[in-house]
Amino acid sequence: FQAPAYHLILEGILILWIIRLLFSKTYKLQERSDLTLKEKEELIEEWQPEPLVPPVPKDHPALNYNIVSGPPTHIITVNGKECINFASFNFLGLLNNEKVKSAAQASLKKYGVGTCGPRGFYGTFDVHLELEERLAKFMRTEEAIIYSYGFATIASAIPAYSKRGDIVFVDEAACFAIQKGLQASRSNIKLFKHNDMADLERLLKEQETEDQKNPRKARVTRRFIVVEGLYMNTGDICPLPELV
Amino acid sequence: INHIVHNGGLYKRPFNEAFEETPMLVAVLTYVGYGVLTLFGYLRDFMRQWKIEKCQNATEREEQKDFVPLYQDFENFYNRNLYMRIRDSWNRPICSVPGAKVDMMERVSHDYNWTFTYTGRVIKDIINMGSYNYLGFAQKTGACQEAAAKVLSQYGAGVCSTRQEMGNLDKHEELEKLVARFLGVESAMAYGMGFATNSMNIPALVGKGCLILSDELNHASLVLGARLSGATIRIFKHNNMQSLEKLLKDAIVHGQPRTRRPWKKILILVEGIYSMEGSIVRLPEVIALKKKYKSYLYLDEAHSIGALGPSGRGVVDYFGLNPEDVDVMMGTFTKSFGAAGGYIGGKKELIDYLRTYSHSAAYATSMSPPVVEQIITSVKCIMGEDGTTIGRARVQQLAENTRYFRRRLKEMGFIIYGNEDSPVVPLMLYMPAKIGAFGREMLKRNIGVVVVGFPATPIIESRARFCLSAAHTKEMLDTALKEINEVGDLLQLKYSRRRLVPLLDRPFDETTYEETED
Repeated sequence: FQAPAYHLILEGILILWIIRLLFSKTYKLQERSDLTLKEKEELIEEWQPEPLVPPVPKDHPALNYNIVSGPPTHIITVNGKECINFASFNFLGLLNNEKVKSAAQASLKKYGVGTCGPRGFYGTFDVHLELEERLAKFMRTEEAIIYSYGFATIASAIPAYSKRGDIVFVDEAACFAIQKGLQASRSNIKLFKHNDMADLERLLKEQETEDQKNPRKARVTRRFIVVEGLYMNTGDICPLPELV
Repeated sequence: INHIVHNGGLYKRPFNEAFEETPMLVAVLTYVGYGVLTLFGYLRDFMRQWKIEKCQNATEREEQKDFVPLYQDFENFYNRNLYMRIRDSWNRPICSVPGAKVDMMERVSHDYNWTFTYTGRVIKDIINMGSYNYLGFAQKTGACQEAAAKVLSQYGAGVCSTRQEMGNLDKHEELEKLVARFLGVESAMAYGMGFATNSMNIPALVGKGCLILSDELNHASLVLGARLSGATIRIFKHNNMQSLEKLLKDAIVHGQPRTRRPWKKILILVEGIYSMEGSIVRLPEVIALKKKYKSYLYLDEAHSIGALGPSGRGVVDYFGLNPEDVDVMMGTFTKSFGAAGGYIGGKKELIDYLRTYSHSAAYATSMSPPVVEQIITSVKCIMGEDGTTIGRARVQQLAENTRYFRRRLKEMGFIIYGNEDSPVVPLMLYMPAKIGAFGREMLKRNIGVVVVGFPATPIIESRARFCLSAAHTKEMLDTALKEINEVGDLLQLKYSRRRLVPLLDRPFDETTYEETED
């Protein structure tokens, strides 16, 4: 080989550098505190967690429940006293209806009490399907779906549609279940004042100007408005014609 | 990997758990299968987009055509092209009590599973290996059902109010005292839905500044509860105590991620039986770790309560440990008790705190009275307080069924995951086409099974899951095993490379729980 001298010297230096790098210690980017084993054990000994739950004072108003004995209908026996019931959500008075009770008895004799499984694994009964059809006809929609727990209905439905990055316009006085659903969905939440359509319109117009600034993002963000028919916290009805 | 552990005296009984590895050829063929399905999926999407083929999935109405689409095309790819092909294995409607045998409504599809029509015929007496009916309390006759009927006529079907308002019946108080006695804890509280018990009470116990260590394969309710609480979540490998110990050590020594402040508290979330793997948590080791590192333990016994243990009191009873060591014992009434709802048991301060601060007590309706009565009767039956030995006999029968079924399946050569004693038996299928084929073939032979694929399991590890019940007689199990053997030969499912020598059938007696056969 005929190679110039500087070439050989340069290659020699490079090879020596590589050998040095191969044998040197690895270089950690962030020096974690290298505590000795003894110090770690001391830290573990010293650490005291908080108690699992803080103690609750004995006279907390929500601690001692009222005991209801007997059927909770419009006349209710609370703590031994008979009262007129203005506290349950028994709007149509169907808790005491004989037809409802006899239908429930018949189904108890046919199906037992529990379903022993989720809807996907042999937990779908013909009565579930019938109820869904009837609900869809009653509400005049195409289809309906039922859940076994009222709180979980809206708290599961919202994160099913609205994902991270979508925008939800919610009334301020939305109930707790809706708030939990929104928290689980991780979307952007914009609150508007209770039953105030002008405020909602202002927010929607702001959103429109945002969209025009960034049309690519606007094409993939979904928007939802969540309102209640009859608000649990304030008792008002939402102005549906204006909303639509 | 086969673990038979007698870890320094912590375990009183051998702990047999096995997760056989996927054979290499099967894994490669499964990936090839998914690849072919994906290609076909793209082809069908292309044809649907260019209107060569009719598009049958949900689309917006004409007036809303220029809204942003509700279902992103790509997210729904799996749904449209893979799930739709085998959709008839799920959501099968039944029309009788979900006991050991069910009647199923026959349904056909003329457009490849996009819509179903019911022919009106009923397929009778299908052996039910899919419902969570571990102790056989899903009955339409018997003491439980009669008691529930009486309470229904007396109290009505619902309550219409929350626990903290007018919804606390005397029945609820009775139920909670009984559950506390059954579990061996100071007090307990019951809720209307098992899923909601987790997702609404974990946020009440931990918050920002706390650490949650949860198992890899925890149920969606635990994951949702942990997310909603706002605490930091760290995941340790499934049932791996070394991974858990490493995480605990690192957490206490280094503190919170950036500020290095010490954690307020550490909560370990584990389940009693994991429903997709059939494995049982290594509870003695978890409790030893918990005591050493001063953290709190939240045990979710959704599947294991009633199903494990010599007296049916769950995984704590199975290992012979003290229930007071577990800080929060949670469970559901849906599976072994044939009702609905969940409970949390623990020390009195914990339950008092949950009575005031739990989201469910404040905002959600309480349990309905006939369901409460069903639970009360079934718990009394298991404890033996109703004067019969039905409860004890059922627990014993379930243990016998479990061991027999698992041993026979292993002898046939299938790959079965999980612990020897768990009544949840996953049988590995791996390939996507076999998922649908297994479900349909078993239904033709009058056996109802549950098959699971992605996303409930990792993509190549799809499986069929059998849930054994005390209501299954030996004849039913033998019939089922014969059919599974046939279908296994037909679909070539016998992947296992280890063969057990078939043993002579030994009669089961009091020594069942003292030693294991091998």
